[in-house]
Parts: sequence; structure tokens; C-alpha cells
Amino acid sequence: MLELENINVYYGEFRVLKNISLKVEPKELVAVLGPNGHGKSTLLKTICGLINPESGSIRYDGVEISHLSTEQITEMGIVYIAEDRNLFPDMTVMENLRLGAYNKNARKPAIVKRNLEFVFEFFPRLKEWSKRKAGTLSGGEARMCAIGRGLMAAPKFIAIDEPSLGLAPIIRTDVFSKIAEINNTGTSVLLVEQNVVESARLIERSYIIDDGKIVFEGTKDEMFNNDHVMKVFLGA
Amino acid sequence: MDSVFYQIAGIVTYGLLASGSYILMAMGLSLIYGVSGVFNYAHGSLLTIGAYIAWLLFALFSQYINYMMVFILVIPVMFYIGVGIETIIIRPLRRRPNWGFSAIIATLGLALIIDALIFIFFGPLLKTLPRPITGSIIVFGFPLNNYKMVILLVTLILSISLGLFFRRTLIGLSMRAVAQDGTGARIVGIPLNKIFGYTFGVSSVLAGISGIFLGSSYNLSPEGGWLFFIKAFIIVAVGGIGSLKGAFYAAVMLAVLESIVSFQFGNKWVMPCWFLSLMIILIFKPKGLCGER
Repeated sequence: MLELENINVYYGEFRVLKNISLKVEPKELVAVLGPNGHGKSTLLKTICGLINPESGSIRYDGVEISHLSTEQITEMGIVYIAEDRNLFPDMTVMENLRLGAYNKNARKPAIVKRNLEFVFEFFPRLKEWSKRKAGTLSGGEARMCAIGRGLMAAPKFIAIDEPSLGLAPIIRTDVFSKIAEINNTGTSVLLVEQNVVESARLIERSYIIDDGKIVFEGTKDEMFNNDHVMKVFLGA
Repeated sequence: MDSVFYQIAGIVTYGLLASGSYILMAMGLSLIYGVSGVFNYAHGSLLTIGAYIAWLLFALFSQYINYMMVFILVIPVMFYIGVGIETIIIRPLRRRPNWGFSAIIATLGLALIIDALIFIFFGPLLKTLPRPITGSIIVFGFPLNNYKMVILLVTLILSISLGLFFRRTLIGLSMRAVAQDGTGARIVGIPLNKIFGYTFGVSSVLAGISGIFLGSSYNLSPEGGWLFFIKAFIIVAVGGIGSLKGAFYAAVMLAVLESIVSFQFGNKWVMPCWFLSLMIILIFKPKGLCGER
């Protein structure tokens, strides 16, 4: 479904991603793990077109997308849910959700209505908050709103960055189970996480990125049985 | 006692009536800054363009044309002028470091070029636009100028429509989204460049309309836009730069202040008093009345 090959990304002179190759199959949930500040977020931003790679290729359903704009990539069904959420603070939750359906394939009134029902069923609280300004939401509430906004685009592929960051443990578990549910509806998920232990039950396969390079690739069991990986990169 | 009350009420009413054109031009200036981060020094010259296009239409087709038709022609022309300015002048700057300052220089240069072109095509002599509605009606002893009432009414209708546009339409919502979180807007797939273009377009339309209103209340001259640019600048700073609501309230407030000052002390004291009130407001509310940034 999504395939990265030898992706290199620079911030100025500094090479943030070094020959990253990675694959996500349809309906799969793949985690990208590893310490902070080593290029995980950059990887997601590159996939969704916020950053353009210097070299390498990104194919989505066989189509090369590494040179496309975020606007075009969103239209193809790839949705990015950012770590800092990037909600529109002065707009209501409802307006935020509506803008989630901006892309041409999701904006038709009938589709907006259907997706909105789906999102409200998924996060019933969002319906209660629909008239609240997004800027007044707490961390966990804002996270739900951001995920809801992502779902409004009717994505086939979700790239989600650190969904548990800054959340209380109970809410974290909640968010993780919602992500599992999204994945169960047939949407592929590429999840960037630091919290290996709590997200473990979600993960089928994972990559570990350290210093911009992929240092491990394997199934969950392979990862947990690899002492070196667990100690050095995941600090567990 | 009664006569003093009537006098004050009369002066305030006069100010309220005069606020119409100020509201539109200030909202236009604030809108561009709020959405695209550009402080548009050519805003006053866009006012002038609007007024001169109207003058040209009246001069060419005097018998066949009325204000309704003038607006129908001026609105799309101003819109595309705005889109053109964004596309040709601002967009290439955006990719460079420190582009905000470059944009100020570029719009300042554009203003000077527009003024020069208007001077070349239309000459230095003052021009006037016809006043479609004259006379006034007396309400409770105050003469209310009919034309100013119409301008205020049109302004209120436009302000309400603008409010609906920003709440109900996808483009309007997108403009607010871009203003509030540019990255968030990109994430949901909003094409920033297109929205910046539309924003300049809408702002130029507002400038053009207020230019016609002002042009028919005063005279047209090639540099006439500057005074109103300065006025719009003060209004926007008082209201909170980037805020449309702030621009609206500040325009009404300052128009009333203008009316009081010019009645009590004479016209020449209006701008000093505007600046004074700007300074006082910025001391207590550094971001303006409704400013968030």
C-alpha cells in the first residue's frame, strides 16, 4: 500500500532521514518507534507532503507521491494527524471537523454527513463539544478532535504522530483502543510512538529509527525478544 | 440642558453615519494581515483604483449606467486585481527568508506605482463621483443624511454577509483556518496559495467598494488613498490587527470620535486625536481591542 525507498530528508545541511525504506501493507498497523528527535515526526511529515525528500521514492498504491503537495496527497486518502494537533483554536469543534473534510473526495454534503455521523458515533463526546472552541479543549479532548478531524477525510491510510503524548494514563489507553478500532475498520495505520509498553498490544510490526536510520525491523515478538533493541533504543 | 443633549446626540449620530466606509476599508486591511500575514501598504491605492474605475465608467457611459451596475463591474475587477497582486508580487516573496519585510517594501512600491499610473492616465485634477442620493430626513430634530444612511446600510449588509461567508462557506472557513493554524490548514488539504489569493481578492473588493463610497463623499485624487490608508491603519491597530470584529468596532468608535473632534476643535485635530486614542488603547490593550496576537 505504502512503500518508502531510500528516502533522504535534509533540514538545511543536516540530514534528518538517512536512506529510510519502509513498507505498510493494506489494513496493517505499523509502528515507528525510537527515541525523540531522531526523525520519526519528519518521516510522517515527509509521507504526507509537508516536507519534500531530497531523494528516494514514496509509492502509494503504486503511484509515486514524493513530489506531490499535501493537498494532492490528502485527496488520495492519506491523512496525517500531527503530534501538536494543529487544530484551529478559534473555530468550533464542528468547524474543525468540517474542515477535516476539505479534500475534494470528502467534501460532498452527503459524504460529510455520513462521516460526521461516523465520527460522532466513534467519539460521542465530540458531539457534546461540537459548539466549543477547539482552543478551550484539554489535551485529551483536543487529541480526540484531531483524530476526528482526520477521520472526516475518509482516509484509507492514517499517519499518526505520538497520539499518547501529554495524556493521562487512562485517556492514553482510550486513545490507543480507538486507534485499534480505526485499524479494524480496514484503515492502514502508521503510528509513531515513544510509549512502547502501552502501545505494544496495538503493534503488529515495527521499525525503530535511531539517528535518522532504521536500526530494527520486525514483528512485535521479534522486537520484544531482542534484548539489545529493547535496552538500547527503547529503554525498556 | 436639552439643547446640549440634542447637540451631543446629533454629533454622535453624524459620526455613526460616517462609519460605513471606514468599516469596509478597515476590514479589508485587517483581513489580509490576519490570513496571510502581509501588511498591505497598497490598500489605500486599491481604494483609489476602485473610485477611479467608477469615475471612468460614469465618464464613458454616463447615461446608461447607475451605481448598481458600477458595483457589478467593479467587484469582479477588484477581486482579480487582488488575486493578481498576491500571485505576481507576494507569492514569489513568500519562499524567501524575512519575506514579511520584503512584502511591506513590495506593497509600498506597488502603491507608489499605482498612484503614478493613476496620475498618468487621469491627470492631477480632482474628480468627483455623482451623488446618487441627496437630501436628508429629520428625525427627532437631527438631520440624517440620506446618502450616508444608504452607505451605512449597505455596509451593515456587507458585514453580515461577510460574517456568514466566514462561518458557512468552505472558502470562508478555510481563510479562518489558514489564519489560525497554517500547518493545520495544509494537513487537511487546504491549498494555501489559492486561499491567500482569494483573501487578497476579497480585501481588494472591500477596498474598492469603500473607495467608491469615499470618492462620492469627497473628491478623487491620485494620492487620495493615503489619508484613508492611514485611517484604516489606525482603525485596524485600535481594533486588533487581523481581527474583523475589532476593525468593525474601532471604525465605529473612531468615526464618532472624528465627528466630536471636528465639531469641537475643527477638522485638523482629527488625525492627532486618532493617534492619541490609538496610543492610549495600546497602553492598556497592547494587542488592540479584539487582538489575539
